[in-house]
Formats: sequence, C-alpha cells, structure tokens
Amino acid sequence: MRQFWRDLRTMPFHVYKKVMDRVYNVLMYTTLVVVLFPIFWMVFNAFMNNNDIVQGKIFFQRAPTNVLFTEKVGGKLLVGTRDGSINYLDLDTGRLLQRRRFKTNNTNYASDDKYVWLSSADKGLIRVDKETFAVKKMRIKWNAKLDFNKISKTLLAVDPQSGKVWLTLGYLDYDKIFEFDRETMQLRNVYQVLSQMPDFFDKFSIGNIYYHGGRLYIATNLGVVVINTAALTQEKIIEHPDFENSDIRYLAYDEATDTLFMNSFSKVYAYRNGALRQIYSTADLDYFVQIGYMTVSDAGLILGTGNGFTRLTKTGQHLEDITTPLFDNVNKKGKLINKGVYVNSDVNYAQVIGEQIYVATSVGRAAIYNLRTQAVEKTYLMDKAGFLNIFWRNFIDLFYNIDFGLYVRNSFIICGMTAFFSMILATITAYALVRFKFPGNRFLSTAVLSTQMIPGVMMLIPVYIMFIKITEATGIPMKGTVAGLVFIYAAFFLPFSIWILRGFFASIPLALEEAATLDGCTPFQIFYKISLPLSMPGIVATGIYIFLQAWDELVFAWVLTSAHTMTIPVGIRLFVGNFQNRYDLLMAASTVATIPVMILFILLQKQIVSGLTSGAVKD
Amino acid sequence: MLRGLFLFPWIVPTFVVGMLWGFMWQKETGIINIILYDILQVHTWLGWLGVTADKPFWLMGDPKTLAAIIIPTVWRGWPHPMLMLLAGLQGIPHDYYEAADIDGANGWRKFWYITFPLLKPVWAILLLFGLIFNVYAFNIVYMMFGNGAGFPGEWGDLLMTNIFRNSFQRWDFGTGAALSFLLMVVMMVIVNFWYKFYKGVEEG
Repeated sequence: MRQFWRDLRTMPFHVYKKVMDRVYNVLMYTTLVVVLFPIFWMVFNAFMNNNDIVQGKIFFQRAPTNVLFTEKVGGKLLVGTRDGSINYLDLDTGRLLQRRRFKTNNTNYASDDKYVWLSSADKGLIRVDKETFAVKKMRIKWNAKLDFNKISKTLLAVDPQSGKVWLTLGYLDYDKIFEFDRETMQLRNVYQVLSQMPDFFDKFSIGNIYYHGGRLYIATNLGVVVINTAALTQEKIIEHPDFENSDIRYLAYDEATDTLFMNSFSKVYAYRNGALRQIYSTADLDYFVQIGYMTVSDAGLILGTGNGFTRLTKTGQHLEDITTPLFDNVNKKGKLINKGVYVNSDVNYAQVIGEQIYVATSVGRAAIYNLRTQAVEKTYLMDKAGFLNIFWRNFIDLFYNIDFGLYVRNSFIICGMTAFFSMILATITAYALVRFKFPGNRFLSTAVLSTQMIPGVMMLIPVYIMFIKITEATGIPMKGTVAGLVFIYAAFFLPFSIWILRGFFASIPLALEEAATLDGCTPFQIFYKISLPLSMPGIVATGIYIFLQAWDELVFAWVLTSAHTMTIPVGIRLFVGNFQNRYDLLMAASTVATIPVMILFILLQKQIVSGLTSGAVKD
Repeated sequence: MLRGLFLFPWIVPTFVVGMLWGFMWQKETGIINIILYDILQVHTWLGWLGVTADKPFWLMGDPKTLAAIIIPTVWRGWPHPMLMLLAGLQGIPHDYYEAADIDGANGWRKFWYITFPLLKPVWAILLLFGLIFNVYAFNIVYMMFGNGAGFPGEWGDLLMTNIFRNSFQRWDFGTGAALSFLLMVVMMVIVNFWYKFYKGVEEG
C-alpha cells in the first residue's frame, strides 16, 4: 500500500490524474449504491411475500411445492401441487412424464372418474382430462371483496353421477356455493348457506364441503349443513357445541357402517342415525398432534397428522401411528431439504387402494405406504416445481381491501389545492414586496422570513383550538374537512413561497417594466403581461415544492383529519398500528406514496434545484 | 444525472423514511441486522468491541435508539446541503486556485484557505438551518416506532414527539402548550441569531 502511494507521487501528472479520477469514480458509485439501497429495498419488499419477509429471507423465494393431491391413474401417478401444477409421474421410476402449470393461489383438488378438478381463488375452476390432458377453464366472480391473503382454501366437491361440481371459499363470512355443470362448466346455481341459517351470530366460515349420496355436506363453524342436491333444499343441520370453537376440516362417509365421519383439529366425530358423538381425541395424548386430513376405507380411518398418519378403527380405537423418516423434512439421502420452519410435514391427502395408501405431504412428496408390510413402498419427490413469488398482489390488496385509494385521492386533492392557493397568494404578495414601496415593506419581508423559521408544529395546539372555536361560532366545519386542511396548509406554506418568489421577481430587470410603463401599461398589466410570464417557471417550481412539502405533512393531517379525509401519511400511520406485521403492505404503501413525488421530481428536477439554490445561496 | 440520483433520498417523504427505516431496523427481519450479522458476520471480528452474537434491538436501549433516529435523518437530509455546497463551489472562481497553485499550496491548504472561507455563507446558513429544522423533527420518529404508540419513550424522545404525546395522547394541553412556548422562545433566540448572520452575509 505504501509502495502504491509512493508510486502515485512519482507518477507524471496526467497519469496521476487518471488514477485519481478512477478512484473518485469508484468511491462515488459505491456511495451512490449505499445511499440508494434503502429506496431499492422498499420497492423490492413491496413485491415480496410477507411470510418470506417475516422469516428473514432476503430474496424472492420459489413458491412452495406443497403436494396437495396424488392419485394413481393407470400406470402413472398424478400429482397436484399447491402452486397449481398437475404432473404425471412414472409409477416405477418417479420420472416426470407430463406437466401443466396454472400458477394458482389457494389451490384445491378433486377428482372423479374422468377429470381432475383444480379450484383456485384467482383463476377459478380448472378441469383437466385425465386421459388427454385437455384443459378447460372457468373464471369465477366471487361477488365479494376478498383479501386474498385471508382465504384459507378454495373448497371443491364433485359428483360424477349427476354431473355437478360445487365450489366455494374458506373465507370469513363467505357463504355462497357455486354449482357448475360437469361437462359444459356452466354456472347452474348459487346457493347461499346463511340465508337458510336459523339464528346466525357474529362469525361464519365454511370449513369444507363434501358430497355423498345425493347430499352435499357443508361443514361450517355453526354445524354441518346438509343439502339435498337434487332439490337444493336444506335437509338438516348437524349441530354440536364444539363446532363454534373448532372448524370441521374434512368429512368422509363410510357406506359399510352408514356413518359420516368428520374431524376438527384435534377430534374425530361420527354421525350415525341422527346422533353425533366424538370417537377420538388427540387432547389426551402426551404430545401435540394436529389432525390434518381424514379419510375412511375398509382398513379404517386414516388421519393425516403432522408426524405422518394415524390409523384408527371405525369405532375410534387407535390402531397404529405411522411415522417414518419419509415424513420429516429430509430428502432421500437424509439431508434437510429446507432449513427452517417445517420440521414435520402435514399429510394433505391420502387415498386407500387395496393395501396401499397414496399419500400427499407438504414437503413436496407423494408416497405409497403399504399397510400389510407396514413400510413405505416408494416416494416421489416433486422438487423445484415452483416459480418465483413476485407479489403484484400486494398493490391490488392495498387498493382493494384497505381504502388506500381514498388516502391517495385525498392527498392529491389537498396538496394540489394547497399548492394552487398558496401560489396565487404568494405571487401577489411577493410581487408587491419586491416592486412597491409602502410603509412596513421592509418589516413585512423580515416577518415573512422569521415566520418561516418557526415551523407549524408549534401552532398545532392553537390551530386545533381555533378550528373548534370557529366551528362553534360560525357553524362552518373546519376540523376533519378538506377545506380546513387546505386553509391551514396554505397559510403554513405561504411564507416560504413568498420568500422564494421574491428572488424570482427581483431578478426580472427593472428596465423591462419601465419600458412597459412607457408603452402605457397600468401596474396590473405590467404584472400580468410581463412579470408573471417571465417568472412562470419559478412559480411552477415553487408550487411543486409546496406540493411535495404538503405531501409530506403528517402532524396537522393527523390531528385535523377524519376518517374520510385522511391523507396518505395518516393512512400509513394507521397501517403501522393495524397491520403491524404486514411489512409487504407497508412497503407497497410506501412505494405508492413515493412514486408521485419521484415522478414530479424527475420531471422538474432542473427547475426545483435551480430555484432552491438561487433562493438560498445568492438571495 | 448523477446529482439527480444522489438527491433521491431527499425526495422520499419523511413519513416513508421513518417507516422504511423502522422496517430496516427490525431485529430479526431487518436488513441491517441481516447484513451485519448474517452476511458480514461482524460479531466474529468485532467481538473485542463488545459486539455480541445476538442481533440487537435497534429501536430499544439508550445509544442504539439515538443512532436509529440520527442515521435516517442524516440519510434523508444530506442531499440538500450537498446541493447547496455544490452550487457554492461552482460559484468560486477558478483563478484563486490557480494563484494558490503558483504559490505552491497543496490540496489541504487550498481547501482550508480558499474553499472553506469562501463557502462560509453557505455552510453557516445550512448549519443554522439544519439546527432549526431538526429541532422540529417529528415525522421520522413518529413513523419509525410502531406498536401503536409511535414514540421511542425515554431512550429517544424528541422535543416534538414529547409535545405531541403530551397534548394529543395524554390530552394534557397545558404541558404541551407550555413546552411549545418555551421551545418557541429558545428558537426565537436562535432565529434572531440566524437572521443577524444572514443579514451580515447579505450585506458584506
């Protein structure tokens, strides 16, 4: 290093200069990167998934390859994943034969003898032919304001005999069930559960729907609603005191014993001959088990748990727990697939065929378990099927679910009007202060300057009280109205505008105005026809600057606005309280709040910069 | 072009600055801790400074809170002085430097005897300006400390946040108004000083 500096000293001047220029450039660009990084980070995070942000992941993640569905079709294994890809795997080698990706959200699967059905919240109902892989799609209007992050699942049931498909959402207070034709995929009926509910109280959500034998079972938190699908009438409601606290997750009908089984997170119920009873509970186990999936077959009840699955008899006797390394978060070689959250995997789907159970688990695996040998026959890894999660949806959510559009609109109205009015007043005042001699001229200029030095936060309390007094005395609403805020903003930004505009008017040569006077212009005409057009760029730049300042104003807006006149800073401040951990939404909102300002600045950079520097340095 | 890019932080609204940095200062999810601890691994080579392996809570505790307030404020504020000083620098005639070169002055001396005194009107005004404006700093702090209250409490309560909290959260207008008044008197003195200086610069 020392040698380097010595070399530098002895270099010819032009070489030295070249080297130093290079060094300065590098320093400059490094600083620039560091300085701009927070802005980049804000925009970047606006496109990230909140779960990834919360887990401290700093790059876009691939969508999870959660396997939701698996089924044996001929000699092939059909595997459906959460991001909406349908794959055919070779049953022996596990090689991927065919794949269709739909990139859906809140995916769910169902299958009948001919088709695989894929339901999603954003892309509707998708039907895939098992033989030909032909796809037919049907968009769905959900007829509700949806926060896509709060949809737990789309729910799907199929009846090949009568040719009907039912579809609904697991979403708070959503009660519509859509009935589609199986072949044409036309909407046939919309059934509303709540309209038939006798006494509905505060919250309602559908946990799952299940079809069997001419009846559609709709598991809600109020009980299981049974609908006759031919007549579309409600037959009965299976109620249970427990249901209010725990949603029913899966239902399964067993024809051999004529029983309807259903499960919540920790309990299994059996409904037979009009009587409901609890047959199994994980609450008395000494370790925590959450029941995910449940299905019934001749081999008994299969419960998918976080550790594998559990087999029960149909009377609820515990037969066996099946936990093999397969269900842990490891690959075939025993390495952790994804360091982090999921230690165990949930069973999303299980289907019993003969002595084999086809299992779909949440770590990107499908597996076949053999009941007789009690061992895993084969596992199929669905790796790297996902796509990058770039969340445009954050912005949609922002305007769709939160009234952010209202805040943006309010901000534009208030700031625009503030800039407009304060510019009108400031132009006239500044011109008068520069051009006319009148008693108190000098004092006024000084006063304008010094009020500029006392920012308005001081006046918050007086203004607050004043607004209330004005309203009391005259009946004009001031607090919580656009007019009140514009009024106080214009007054607040006036001194600064006057100060800057003074410089612009002073720089117009006096000779021009004298010439105009000789030509017979009145003082007003001089102002209107000469000074104003000449100083227009300065006025516009100052106006923009005032707009930006008003855009940035938080304190007055926080105290003096009401729910329907909130500006962006107040709206965002509410976010911080209400959506504490929704960093994605916070950053999206910040980005939206910054973009107009950035655009204005880029367009008018030269004017603003020259206006500021001339006002502050030379004036 | 480059100047425009450098000005970008100054364009970002202060409430956004507060929220953005509040997010960046988070303990586990904040990028600053991720860069320092997960990527640079500062605790391994700054252990002798008392840097522990635990990621710190930047928004809690005495010196850290102040740092967490000061750094975003500086980040937001510095382009404006830079712009002004740049304008001032461009106004200094090049002859002075040439004359100094002939007299054999080195770079440091040129800076100390030519640039610095000639820029005095600019930096002195900027200094006072900055002082006055940052006494009224409110938005960044108010947005940065989330959890509903929005205030750092004893570790980093600024004058403005204290006034605001007293008046509009505890609804104790008396204390708030008294504090405002006191602050205004103090600021009047400083502003008076500033104005005298400003006039002196303008005239001479």
